[in-house]
Amino acid sequence: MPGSAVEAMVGTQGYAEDIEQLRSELGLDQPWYTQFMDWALDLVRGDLGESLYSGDSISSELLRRLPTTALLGALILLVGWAIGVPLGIFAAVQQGRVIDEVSRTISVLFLAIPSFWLATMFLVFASVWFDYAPPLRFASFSADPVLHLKIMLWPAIIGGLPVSAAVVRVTRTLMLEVLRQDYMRTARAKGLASRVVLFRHGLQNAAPPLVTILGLQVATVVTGAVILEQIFAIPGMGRYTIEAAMRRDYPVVQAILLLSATSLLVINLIVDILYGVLDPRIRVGA
Amino acid sequence: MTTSSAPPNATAWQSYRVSWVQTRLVRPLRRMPVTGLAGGAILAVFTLATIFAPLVATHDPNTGDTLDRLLAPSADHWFGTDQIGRDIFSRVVWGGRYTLGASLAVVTLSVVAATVIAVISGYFGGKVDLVIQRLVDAWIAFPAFVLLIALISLLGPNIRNVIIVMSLAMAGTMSRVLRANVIAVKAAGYIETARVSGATDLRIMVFHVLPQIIPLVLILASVQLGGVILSLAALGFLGFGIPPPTPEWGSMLSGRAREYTYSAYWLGLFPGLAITITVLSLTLFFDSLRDVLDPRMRGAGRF
Repeated sequence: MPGSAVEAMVGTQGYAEDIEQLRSELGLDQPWYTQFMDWALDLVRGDLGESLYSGDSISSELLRRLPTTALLGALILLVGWAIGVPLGIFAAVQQGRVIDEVSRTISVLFLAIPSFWLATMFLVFASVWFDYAPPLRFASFSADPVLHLKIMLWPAIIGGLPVSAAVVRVTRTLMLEVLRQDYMRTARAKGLASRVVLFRHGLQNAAPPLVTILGLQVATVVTGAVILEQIFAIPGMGRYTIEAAMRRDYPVVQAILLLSATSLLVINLIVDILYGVLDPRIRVGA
Repeated sequence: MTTSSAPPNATAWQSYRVSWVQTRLVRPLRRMPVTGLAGGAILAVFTLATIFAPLVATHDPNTGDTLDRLLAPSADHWFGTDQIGRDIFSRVVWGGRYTLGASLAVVTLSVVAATVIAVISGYFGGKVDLVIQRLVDAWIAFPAFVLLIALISLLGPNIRNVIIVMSLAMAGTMSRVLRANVIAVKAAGYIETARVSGATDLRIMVFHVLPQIIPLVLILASVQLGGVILSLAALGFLGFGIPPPTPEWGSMLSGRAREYTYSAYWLGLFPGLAITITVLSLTLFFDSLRDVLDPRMRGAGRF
């Protein structure tokens, strides 16, 4: 990794004059507080500045890449929750039996496997055993939705596995708590179908705490996106982060940090609002 | 029953010592489920292999013969060789020193920092608490992994910087959890008693508050260790961790090695297996240890 953005562009063999000229063109010869004030003032005007490396506008680049990463993140969560919630309910109902033990062991295992390794090994062995290779050409969603989803499929599954592992554990604990309640026995006693008891009376009461986990998982998904975009060559925000950090392209890194912190806050706000929607008692309290 | 195992001329004090070993060490281990014991055994083997890496490794981890490049696993090279002929088994064994050593350092540093912040913030309360907690708010608003990449690119990737940055990134969230505990402890009567009897704030914090939150600190540390190993490896994989040629498990899969893995699977398979098995054993061992040592968990489901 080069020592500075200028070094990344000129190379370590550059002439001293060239380096000095480039530094002043980019404004890097100013003291750090001046640079920071310039950046902050531009930010207030809604301008995230330009990349030191390419000179392109950062906001337009982010806008171009954001939908890709947002979709990948949404798919990762979808996979994780689609596997995790049913399996968690099932494990709770079958507490102590084989399915419970198996799901617990698997969830511990999925939380222990590094996703970058799983993804790499998937690509290695999928090509050897099944002649599978990820599509060579990248297509945006608007250009070719089918190809776009095909590219996203495996990263979403690989990223979703650790998410599902965490969801299984939490769903199981919450459902075990709910299953013990008197209203569950009442519901069953008055002759409701066990499916209705489980989902309407059971899951609905376990849902609010479960949604909190969703907020906590956003950070996990961001990490997953950074790693999986790198391995599957998806030009999203995660890949942009790595490229920019490698080139010491600070305006870009700053913009990404700002954007990711903002989205984390927004998503946590949505989760708080959802909490009220799901649990009327909290709405009254607030 | 313990006195029978003590020598015939044992004094009361000696028989007490035997029973301490029994209650604190032997019985908990007997109660531990098989998965927990297996995890503990694997951890013990890995720790020993790491400590005695020079004896366990069959080759020099950092020099290789280019004539031996990309050899498949064999009797001479158990895990094969990489693109410049280095023995992968030896690199995995030595890599444990960096991956496990750095992870332990990160957990220790972050736990200490989090405890100091939590005790000061929670004990003093009021304006001190308000200011510290708003700083922590800003600190934990960033997704940790993106923050790590940004800070490490700023400071330059080397072992020292990676350890410091990772510890700081983790300390924020942990201090939140501990602070809640400190506030609960502060309400206890003995804190007031201590203050009335003239103890200074520092004395109360160190001798009355700290011992109460130590169990939670240890639990947090044991929970975090697996996650730290995974993050450290992921950073190494992306090129923001402990830099090559150091045989760190994550960075053994980064850069050129990743390209070669597609034709020589053993380059990536074994370092990743080492990470998975380590984190899995850690989770199984500490999960059952917590259950065994925590009386409230006895007889309850293990989730």
